[in-house]
Amino acid sequence: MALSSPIEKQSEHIQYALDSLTQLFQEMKDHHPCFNFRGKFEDRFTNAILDIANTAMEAQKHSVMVNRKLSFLLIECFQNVVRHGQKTAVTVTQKDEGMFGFRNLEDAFVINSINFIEKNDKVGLRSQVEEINALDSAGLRSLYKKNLHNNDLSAKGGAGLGLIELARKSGNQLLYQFEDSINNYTLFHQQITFLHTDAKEVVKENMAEQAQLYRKMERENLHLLYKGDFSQKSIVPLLAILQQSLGEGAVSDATARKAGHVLIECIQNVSKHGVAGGPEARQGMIAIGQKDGKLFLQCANIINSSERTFLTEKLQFLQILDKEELKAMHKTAIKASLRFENKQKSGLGLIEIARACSEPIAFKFDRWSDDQYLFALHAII
Amino acid sequence: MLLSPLEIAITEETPGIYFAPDKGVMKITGRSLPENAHSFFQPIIDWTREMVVHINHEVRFEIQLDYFNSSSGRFLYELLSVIESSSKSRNHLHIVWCVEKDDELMIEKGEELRELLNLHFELSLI
Repeated sequence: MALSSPIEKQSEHIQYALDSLTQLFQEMKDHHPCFNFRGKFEDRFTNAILDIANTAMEAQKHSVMVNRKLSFLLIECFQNVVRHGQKTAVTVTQKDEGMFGFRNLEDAFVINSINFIEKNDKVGLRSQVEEINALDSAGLRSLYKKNLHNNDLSAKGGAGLGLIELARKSGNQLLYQFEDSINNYTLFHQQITFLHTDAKEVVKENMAEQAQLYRKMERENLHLLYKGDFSQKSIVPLLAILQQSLGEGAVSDATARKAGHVLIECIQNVSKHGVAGGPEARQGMIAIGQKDGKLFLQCANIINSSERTFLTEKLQFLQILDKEELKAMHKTAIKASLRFENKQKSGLGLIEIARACSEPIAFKFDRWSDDQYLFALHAII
Repeated sequence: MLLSPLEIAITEETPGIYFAPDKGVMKITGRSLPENAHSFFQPIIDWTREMVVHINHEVRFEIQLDYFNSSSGRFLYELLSVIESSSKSRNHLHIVWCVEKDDELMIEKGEELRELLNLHFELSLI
């Protein structure tokens, strides 16, 4: 085995991808949860998306009523995109139908969607949204009733009822913008604001930020971005969305499963090495994307400075091991673990991640505060 | 001696356990992702420790997991080591590691356990 410097193993594009992740972490540091999905929208993702949001929002202890409305808005908004999102020639080849996301902005909760519509539908949609935005709650109620009785329902089951409901349940205007795209298509960007008025500056600015984020996800071919709680409860819904979005031919089943293993170990690694207590406890970020036909998974979280040396040494050691050596190391470690008193820290997680990867794990540390670092890891499956 | 079966219902994070050696069957199915794998597995390991000294007939022990985290792996190894530790269970238990044929990681994990343990250990690709 040739001994090369571990640093050399981290190529320029991986460094760039790691920098990109930590920059996003910085930008989103006050917004959690944050969730963004770019790709093909499917009805069956609805449950996983709802579970991710509900798990992430649990700590905020809203009333049952608020939680119900939130679920309603997420479902309605996501399914609107699934139903009405236009499948363009572009989206068929790129497997990209736009982006769906939600996040906390101070005390507001916003849901964003970006999807393709036909250019010819722009005028009709704009007037529909404008009509809704001009009405107060009584007006919305009567428009809803009128449209409910209207026989002229679209084939997709619409008549704008979904949009009216989004406005009624959120209690806010529907923020929107159009952006002309290639060929005859237009990107329709919509934002639903909940729990707070949409007049807030940070809420309005978020429209542009989400459009930028979509560009970035497109450029870097990211499918999934999640920042928030990394508790045990977040694993099952994140694993579900990962399997559902990757399972259908995007990558092989074996690759999707490996990504699942890496996801589980990353999340549980954060809960072991992440800082204890305080607002940053168990906050982490996960990004999943593709590059050169390979799937990659990134993870970022804040650690105490004292963990840095341990992680660096361990990862640098793992970086120079080949498949057989990793296997041998795992065997030794699992045998040894039976003799260790501390049954919680087996030390096997990082070895498992390395074994699921086709290339050495890349990583970096950014100074976060006097005694903390932002730790980021890049795993190529 | 008759042992009352050990049954633990399957959840999204922890596997279903059905250990009925008197009927010749033991099964672990599902996925194992608990953060605290120790508290989940310890009672199962304790139960198994009691069981292994009494076993005197053939038992098929099926393990079919689609995901398990690294700490569950550690306890799964401990569980199988307990079976290995008694000549009665070592001779009578037949371990069947059921895995989907394209699940490289789970095949690898099965092979590794087979290499680590002196047990009747079969890899069954489904």
